[in-house]
Amino acid sequence: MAPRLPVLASAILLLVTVLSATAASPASAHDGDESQEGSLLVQQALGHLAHDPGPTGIDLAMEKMDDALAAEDQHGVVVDDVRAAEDALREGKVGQARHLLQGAIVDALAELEPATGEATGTTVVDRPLPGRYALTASDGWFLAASSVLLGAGLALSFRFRPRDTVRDMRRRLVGPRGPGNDDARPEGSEP
Amino acid sequence: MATIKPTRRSGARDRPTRTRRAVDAIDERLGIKALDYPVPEHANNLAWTLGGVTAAAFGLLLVTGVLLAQFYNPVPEDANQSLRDMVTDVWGMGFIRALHFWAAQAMYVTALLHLLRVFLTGSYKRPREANWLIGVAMLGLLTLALFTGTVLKWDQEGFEALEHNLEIAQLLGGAGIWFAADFADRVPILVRLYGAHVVIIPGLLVGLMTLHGLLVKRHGISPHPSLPTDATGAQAPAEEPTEPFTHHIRRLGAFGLALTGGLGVLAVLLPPAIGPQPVAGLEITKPPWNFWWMFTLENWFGLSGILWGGGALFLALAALPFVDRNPERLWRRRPVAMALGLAVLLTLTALTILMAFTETTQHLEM
Repeated sequence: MAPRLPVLASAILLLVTVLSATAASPASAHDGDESQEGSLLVQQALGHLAHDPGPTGIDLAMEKMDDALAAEDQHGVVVDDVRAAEDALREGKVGQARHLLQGAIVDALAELEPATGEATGTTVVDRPLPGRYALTASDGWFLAASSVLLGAGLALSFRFRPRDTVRDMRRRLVGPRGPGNDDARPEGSEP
Repeated sequence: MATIKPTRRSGARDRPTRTRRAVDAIDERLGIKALDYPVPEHANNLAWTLGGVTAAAFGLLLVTGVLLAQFYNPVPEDANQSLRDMVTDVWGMGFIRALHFWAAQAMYVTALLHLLRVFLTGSYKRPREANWLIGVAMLGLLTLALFTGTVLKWDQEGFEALEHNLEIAQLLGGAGIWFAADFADRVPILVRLYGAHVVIIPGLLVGLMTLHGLLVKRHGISPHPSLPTDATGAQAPAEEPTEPFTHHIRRLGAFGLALTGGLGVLAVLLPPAIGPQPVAGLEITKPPWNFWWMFTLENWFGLSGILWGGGALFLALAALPFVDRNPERLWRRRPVAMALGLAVLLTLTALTILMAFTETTQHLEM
């Protein structure tokens, strides 16, 4: 009976884990207070477009641009450029919209103090830089050198393997019955 | 049948080889032969060398990190751009950065595998409890290194990681003061995290690793649970074959070579991207996979879920040697420990997998 209890306990714990994972619902999202700073809202629109230039990102960017146009503080924001960017996005011209939005806040960004604390210091919001382009000649050399190291390491680790495996030692020290049998254990040794 | 005896030139003597003479000369000055002490043979298989493999990954991180530091500018206005310039305009730095990224992943994985092995073989039990605690502390530092490293990219993902950190610091009150953005009002927090990533955390890791290794030397490698032990139950028996510690280092060197090569292949074929510069007030990215289990807790319980979940895990790890009083080391004879360990592992795995299917949700107070 005793060995079955741990199995039962494990099964119960697993069931609880799975039920918790599937039953719990996300905590209600806290929307947070929207910024009233027009230039930051324009930057947020740029952030959405940089992160996702697809339909979802465009919708989110449009929301931010609407918020920017309605913001109390539009200091340093060229409102016409923001409106032109909205028009460009409606036509699906994401690149043009990004260019217009970046230009719309040039004056605001020029007045930024050097970043302290948690300030981002961001002026231009670039597109993501992908990790991988086409392999170059240098990449080929690095790949070749790495493959040589990998092969050499594997060969040497095999060459330097221990003389005896744990199974060999167990057979020699404990006997054919293995560690579960106290009779097979050498005298004076603990399990 | 006549026996053939080897002949010798008259007057010839047995002369030590050039290698032997070199080793003797180095030993006379550095005492390297002290490393020739006997170590139970089971210590040389891969599962029992994972700690050393983790240290090898750390060594790679140190070397590649020094190179990255030559070209990275930790000032917020330029951090992201300096990274872009480094990987596109400086020969070899794209590879070095990718190698650094993959070495960090490797260190995390091998550290967890090492922890798992130590848990499965009961190697944390008396008299090795202190060394277990040092290991848990190093795991915590490694997690912090991963966190600070992701922030240093200073892209949207890194910035959102920082924002989470700042809000958790607020939850901690006075205890979170170092993590508060206004702790040093003239120094951007990015610069302080850079200092933590390149000096404080690696420095602490080097110190703890040294202590960790010295304690392994002091206590001896723990006995294999399926082999007999000596009368104390804490050491391998005299009957178990031994090899010199230099053989352990030699095999570890081979593993390190293979690790470097494997990570180099990954660095060429799967280099990490660099995200757009950060914008405050957005929460649109997911954290690196290492933190997904925490963020599923955040989705369920809010920001404090990260704090309580992480805290509970590390508290449980630290308490393990003092709560588990079962003297057995073989896994079959430790049903409660195995059941609980499996439950924790499955829970963390489930929480991690769930994050892959979860949309990003606003949690931060913007």
